[in-house]
Amino acid sequence: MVQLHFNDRQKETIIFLNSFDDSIIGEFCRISTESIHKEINSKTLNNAAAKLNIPPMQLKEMLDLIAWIIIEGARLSINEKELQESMIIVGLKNELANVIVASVMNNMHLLQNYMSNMRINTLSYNNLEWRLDVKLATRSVLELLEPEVILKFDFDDGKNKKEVKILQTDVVNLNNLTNNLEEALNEIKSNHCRRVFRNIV
Amino acid sequence: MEINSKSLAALKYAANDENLSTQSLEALIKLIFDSFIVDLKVGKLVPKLDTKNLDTFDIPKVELKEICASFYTLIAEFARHNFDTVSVSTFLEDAGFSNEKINIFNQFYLEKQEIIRLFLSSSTASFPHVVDVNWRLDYIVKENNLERINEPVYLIELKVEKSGETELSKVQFSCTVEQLQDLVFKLKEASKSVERLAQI
Repeated sequence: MVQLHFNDRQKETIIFLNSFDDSIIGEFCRISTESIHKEINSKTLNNAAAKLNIPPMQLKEMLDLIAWIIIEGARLSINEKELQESMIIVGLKNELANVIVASVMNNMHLLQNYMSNMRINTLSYNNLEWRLDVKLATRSVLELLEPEVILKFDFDDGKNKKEVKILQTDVVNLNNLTNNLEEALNEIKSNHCRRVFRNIV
Repeated sequence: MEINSKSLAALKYAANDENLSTQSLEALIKLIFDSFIVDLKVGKLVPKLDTKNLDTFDIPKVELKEICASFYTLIAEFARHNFDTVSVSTFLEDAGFSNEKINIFNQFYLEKQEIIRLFLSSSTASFPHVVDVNWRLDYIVKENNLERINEPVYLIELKVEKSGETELSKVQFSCTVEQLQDLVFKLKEASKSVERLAQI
């Protein structure tokens, strides 16, 4: 059961949200979503606060809280029911919770996309090109007949940096490499792995 | 195949039975060929000439050095051109060696020919050579920015030999299941085409 955990300060802010109706909360949600991409203009903030008759700092706290709910919800992949409950438990009115839940769900996918760009990225495989050569002679040895495979790996850094590595092998090592990697691929279908995948949700 | 004149002169000196008896030649050649040692621990050729034994020959030091050097040159050239015993015999005959001496040389040469060719071919320009592979299958459960990821990922490590370096270096990368499938498919294609080549 995934839940959003609010700290005491946030709980106070939630109670304060109850003094507004759902259309205003809807506006808050819209502004909060935008604030995730770009910081809110302080003049706009002050004007809005004046219209609502509240101090600007308080408005900012409420907007920050809603933004936090949106981001945390995306991070935890929370579902509607869990999110609704988390907010109602700390005292938010039902209709207002509905508005916020709708906003979180709408933005979840996009946010998760952004967050997946912040993941730890190792060098990842992109493509392999290979070439089969026969070595006929070198400066030190003539009359050779040695097969050789050239491998060109394309790697992706994750930060849009591409790396190219050119390696070579001989017949024996190529077979060893292929067999080992095939074995690795078959591991995914093993009972052990299937059990793990099923049970970690 | 040509040898430089200095080496040729030294060889002719060695061919002369008055300078170097057949037995002495046999001992000398054995010493030289035995220096191509294969170090089984390292799995490589580690040539080493035991110079102490050279003192037992009663030839002046300078001539002995030149003879040794010219024999090494000769052996390298024979191996390089992949000479068979007939061609070797012809060349040594022209240099003035007796049939006895030639037979002794051929005996050792045949034994060590492949090893010497292997040693010579180790000094070519080449790309880093893949010698081994390690792999690891992980299951990503969560990260600090994203929970509930639940994705399997492979970490592959290729052990690579670079020419001129004794230590192996590594090429590490990660890939998803689909990417590994692609990689294995392409490697299998490559192996199959090598097999087909062997059948031609």
